Amino acid sequence: MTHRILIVEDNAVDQRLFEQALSDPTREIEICNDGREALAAFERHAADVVVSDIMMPNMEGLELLDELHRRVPGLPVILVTRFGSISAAVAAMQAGAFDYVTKPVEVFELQTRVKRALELDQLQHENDTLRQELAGRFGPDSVVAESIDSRKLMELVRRIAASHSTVLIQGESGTGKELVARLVHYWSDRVGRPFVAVNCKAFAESVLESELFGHEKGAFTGAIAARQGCFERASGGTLLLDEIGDISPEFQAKLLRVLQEGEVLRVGGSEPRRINVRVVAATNSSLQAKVAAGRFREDLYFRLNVIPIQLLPLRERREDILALARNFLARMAAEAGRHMTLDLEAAEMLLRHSWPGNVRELENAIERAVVLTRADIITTADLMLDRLSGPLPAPPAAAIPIDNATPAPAMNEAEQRAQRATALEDSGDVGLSEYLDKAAGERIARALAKTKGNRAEAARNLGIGRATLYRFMRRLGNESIAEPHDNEPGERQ
Amino acid sequence: MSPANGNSARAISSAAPGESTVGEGTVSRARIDRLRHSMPGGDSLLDELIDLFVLDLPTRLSAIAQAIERADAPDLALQAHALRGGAANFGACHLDELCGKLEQIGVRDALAEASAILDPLGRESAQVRDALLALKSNHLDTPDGASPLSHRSRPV
Repeated sequence: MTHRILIVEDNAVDQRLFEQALSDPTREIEICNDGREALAAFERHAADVVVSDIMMPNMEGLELLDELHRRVPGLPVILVTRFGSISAAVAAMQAGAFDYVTKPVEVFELQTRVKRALELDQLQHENDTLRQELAGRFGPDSVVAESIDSRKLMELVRRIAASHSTVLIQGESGTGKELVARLVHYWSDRVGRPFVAVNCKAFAESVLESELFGHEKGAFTGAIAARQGCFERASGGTLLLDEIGDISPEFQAKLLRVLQEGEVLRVGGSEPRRINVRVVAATNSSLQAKVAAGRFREDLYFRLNVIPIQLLPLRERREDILALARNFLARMAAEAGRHMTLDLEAAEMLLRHSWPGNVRELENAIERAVVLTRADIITTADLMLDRLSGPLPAPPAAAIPIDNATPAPAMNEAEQRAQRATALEDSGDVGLSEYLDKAAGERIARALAKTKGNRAEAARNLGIGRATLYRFMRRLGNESIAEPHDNEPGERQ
Repeated sequence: MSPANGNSARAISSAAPGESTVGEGTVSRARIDRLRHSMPGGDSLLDELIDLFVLDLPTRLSAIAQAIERADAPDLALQAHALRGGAANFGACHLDELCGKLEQIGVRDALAEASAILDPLGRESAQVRDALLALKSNHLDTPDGASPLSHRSRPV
C-alpha cells in the first residue's frame, strides 16, 4: 500500500531535506510551496499525512490545518515551528495538529513522527474494520448454514476468499448477496482494508460514473472539489457492485475498460490512477440471459464471472429456515434481555411459508412478531403468516450446484417470484405484511406516546431491545409510527 | 568531510557538541556533520542542499530589500522566515539571528528598524555562502555564489 505525504514548505533547502528524509518506496511525496497550493494538491489527490511549516505565504500552517480537517477530520498534520517557539507549538496542538517538529529539523525526529502518524492512521483504519467484524455479523461461526447447500456455499466462500479473482454473485432479492460479498472480504487477507458497496441501480448513469470513478474539481456544475470514487475509496479492499445487471451498455464499456486496465480515470481528469481492488459483482437477474438477449456485454460478463456464486432462494433450502428464524429471534430477544422461543405451530408455519422475499422477509417477520407479542413464546398468532402461506412449492426441476462454474438459470426463479407476487397482489393478500407492520407500528406509537417519546422506556415496556425498535422504525421509515415528540426527554442512547 | 581552508576555514565553527557558533564561526560543523550522517548518500545530499541554499540566497536577499523598500512588513516577515529556515539547517546562527530580528520587525510592523540590519545581513550571507561552498565535497567554489548546480534546480 502506498502512503501519500504532502510537504508544505516555502524554502528550497527544507523542501529537499524533508523529501529526502521521508522518501521510501512505499510512499508518494508531493511538495507544495504554500498552504493554498497544498490545499489544491490535497483536493486533487488526498494525502495520508501532511507536514507543513507554520509560517508561509498565502495560507499559513494553522489555517491549512483547519481547512484540511474540514475536509478530512482527524487527518494527521505535523506542523513545523521554530525552535523555542513554545506559543506556536501550543497553538499547533490546540488547533488539532497530530504533532509538531522544530526547526532546524532533526531528520530522525521528523521520520519518527511521520512514521507514527502513518501507523496510527493505519491502526485506526484497522480498528474500525475489526470493530465491525467483532460486531459479530461476519465471524465464521456466526453465519447460519444448516442446509447442505448453505454449508457448501460457506466452504466455497472460504476457499475463494483467499484468491483475488472477481466474483459474480447471483440470486433473488433477499437471499443474502451482500452478506456473501462481505464474507468474501472479511475472510480474505483484505480484512482491515475498506469494503465499499455501491448499488449501481440507485444512481443515474452520469452520477454513477462519478460515484464509481470519482471526479476532478470543476468536472461538472457542482463539482466544487475533487472527489475519490468508490474504486479509489476501496483501495486495497473489496468493492461490491450490486445490481450490476442494470447498467447501460455505455457504462458497461467504461467498466470493462477499468477492469481490464486496472486503473480509473476520474470524470474531468486526464491522468488514470492505478487501483488495487477486488471486485465482487451481484445481481438478482441472470446475466447469462441478458448476454443471450444482447443486453449485457459478453466480454464484461466473462470478466466478472471468474468465480460464480449462485444463491438459492430460501424455499429451496428449507433446513435453513428455522435455524435462521431462531438466530434472528435470539438476537432480538437478547437485545431486550429476554429469552424467546417459537412454539411448534409457529415453527411449522415458518416452514410452510414460501418466502418470496427470502431471508430478508423472514427477518422482518420475526422482528414484527417480537414487537407484536407480549409473551416470550412466538405463536402463529404473532406471525400471522397463514394467509400468506400456501402449500409447499414443488421442488426445483434440477438442483443448482453452488460450486459449479455454470451459472444457474436464476431468471426462472425471479419470474416465478414475480408471478407469485402478482397473484398475491391480485388476491389482495400482498397487503398483509404491510397490515401487520402497521399493527406493530401502532403498538410502538402507543408505547412512545405513553413514555412521552422516550424510546428506551418504550422499548422496555414493549419487551424489545432498543436496536429492534430502531430497526423497525427505520425499516418502516417511521411512516406507520407517529412519534409524539421530536425531542426525547430522558432518552438514553 | 575535507577540511576547509583560507578565509572559509575561519568561518567554520568547530565547537562540536554545543553547536554554539555565534561569534565563533559562520556555520556549524557539528550540525552539518549530523545532517550529512543522518541519511544515506549524505555527501551528495549535503552538496545539493548547499547548492539550493546558495542559489536561493540572492533571491531572498533581494526580496527582503524590496519588502523593506515597499514597506511591506508581512512580506518582510515571510522572506526573513524562509531564509532563516534554510540557514538554520547549516547552523548559521548569526545569519539565523539577523533573519529572526527582521522577521520580528516584520511581525511588529516596525520597518524603521530594518534598514540598519540590511548591511550586516549582506555581509553575513556572503560569509555563510563562502563557508558552505568550501564545505562541499567536490569544492566547486565559484567567485560570486553562482554555484554550478550539480543535480537539480527547484522552484522556490
